[in-house]
Amino acid sequence: MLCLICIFRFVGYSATEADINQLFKRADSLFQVKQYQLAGIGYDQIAYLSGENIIKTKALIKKADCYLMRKEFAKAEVVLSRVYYADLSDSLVYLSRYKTALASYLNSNFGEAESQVIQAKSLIGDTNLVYNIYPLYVLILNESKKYAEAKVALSAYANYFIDDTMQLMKVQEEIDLIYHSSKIPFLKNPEKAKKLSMILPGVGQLYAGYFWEGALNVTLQLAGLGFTGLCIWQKYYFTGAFVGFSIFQKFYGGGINRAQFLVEKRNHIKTRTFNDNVKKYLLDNKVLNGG
Amino acid sequence: MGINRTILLLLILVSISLSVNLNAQTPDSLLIASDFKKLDLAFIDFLINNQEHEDALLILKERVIDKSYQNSQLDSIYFYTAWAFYNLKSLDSSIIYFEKIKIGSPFYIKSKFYEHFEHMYLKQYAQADVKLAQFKVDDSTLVELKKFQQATSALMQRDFLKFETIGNSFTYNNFSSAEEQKALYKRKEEILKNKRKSPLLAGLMSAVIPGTGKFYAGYRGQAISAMVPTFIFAAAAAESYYRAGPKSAQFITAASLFGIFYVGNIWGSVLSVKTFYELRNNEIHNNVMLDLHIPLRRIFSN
Repeated sequence: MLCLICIFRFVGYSATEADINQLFKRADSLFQVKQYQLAGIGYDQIAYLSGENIIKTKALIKKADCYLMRKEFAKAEVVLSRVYYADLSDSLVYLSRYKTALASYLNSNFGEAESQVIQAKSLIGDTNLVYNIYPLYVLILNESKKYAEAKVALSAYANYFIDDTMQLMKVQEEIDLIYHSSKIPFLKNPEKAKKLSMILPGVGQLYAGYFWEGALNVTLQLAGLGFTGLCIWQKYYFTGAFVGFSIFQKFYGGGINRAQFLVEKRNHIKTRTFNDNVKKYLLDNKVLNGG
Repeated sequence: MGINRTILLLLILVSISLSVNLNAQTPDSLLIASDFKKLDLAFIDFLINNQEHEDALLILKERVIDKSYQNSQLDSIYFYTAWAFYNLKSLDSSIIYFEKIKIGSPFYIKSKFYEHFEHMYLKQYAQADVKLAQFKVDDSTLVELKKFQQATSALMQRDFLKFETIGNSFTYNNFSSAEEQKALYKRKEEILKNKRKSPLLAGLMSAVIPGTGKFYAGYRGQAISAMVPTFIFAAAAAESYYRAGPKSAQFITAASLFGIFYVGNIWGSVLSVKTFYELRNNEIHNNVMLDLHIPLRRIFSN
């Protein structure tokens, strides 16, 4: 019968502090054995039973952790949207805002993630906690392509947490190197690529950095025009005008769209490479992440 | 003997503590949750209100087959199960549990209206009609809602006579459904405009002038894109025939391409009659279902 002592033991009763502690213990143990859905129900039960906002918030944060572990980031965001921020301590506000920003970041909802960090910065009085959120802030800003702001944030974080002057100088040098203007992804304009391919076929692909694709596209367009010319020379006027020109027109139109796509692809690869490098640096740097 | 009893007692204690630990650590911990008889429906309600439908279903899963609950508790369990499935858009499963709720339950009326709605959403109009006919309501708001659901079902089955008969009894003085009742007549016009066209005629039209069959079917933009390549290859074939004769490679190539486009266009036109009709029908169905849903939300506040 002892095994019947479960997360639903206290249903229908007003929960005492001891009850809540036991419920937390139970839900935590389920979390540890990766029973995330059951653990989540347990935490929600605490949020339901407890009359205290602090307890509710703690439970909701842990429930969000369950969703994060299940890689259901959107659901984690929804759970954390239930947090009521009045009368919460700085540490709880920090934890909740941080988790919300993390869930939004993982859900590629970068605008909301940034908004959470900004709110944390303005509402939390404890500077130590505010700076703890900066590594995530840097990643969010990078994803939003706000590289200058990201560099400032990373420098401020290093400045705040590194006491040793030599170490700080070394880290600042590394940050300067990472965010050096030559390293920051130079994003090309997809519209410009389209226009270039419109005026001079193949140049849009060249602009995107895909020389051979541009050359192939020009060749195919020239083949279409050549076929048109050949047909007209052989007095196949209709065939030349319609079939030959259609071939040319298809490759011309396709080339324009392809140039736009290639610029977008290039921008994505460059951004991804840069952002992943920064992420790796943040994770690997023992001075920055406290060993 | 005393030592043996002590060992036995220790073994029992060890096995009890092991069973506690194992139950906490094995995947069967799900059973722990479901085994507990005390059921707090307010907590289920709390989960559902917070969009945690899967969690609610996990708790309710074992309880829906447990007959030891009182009827009123079972009705609540069925309702919350049906409601969670409804929110997860598993309408078939939702209907199964809505059906189980008995007359006299506080959830009965709401569940019946939603059950009818789900049948209609799934285009199971016959089942909706039977259930609506057996369903008795007295309240004037609910009477109007019932008539609205019946008229919608008749309309979706294209039974215009029945639709008119029921529609004539609409009072339009009930805030909850008056606007949607009026809108139903607009939907009727849309249905009447969406006439089933002849695939044979579409095919013939495309045989005479390529692309016109698609225009007739309703795909006006596609008509040009179907017409152009067919004409291009027709012109090329005619030119090759005139210049090089019927046995020339140019003619055979161009004529073959023309043939492929020409026949493909006719076949495409025949099929497009059905696809366009169904596409438009689905649009109308979705709009009608949206209209049908609004009064439900107004009346039952969810």
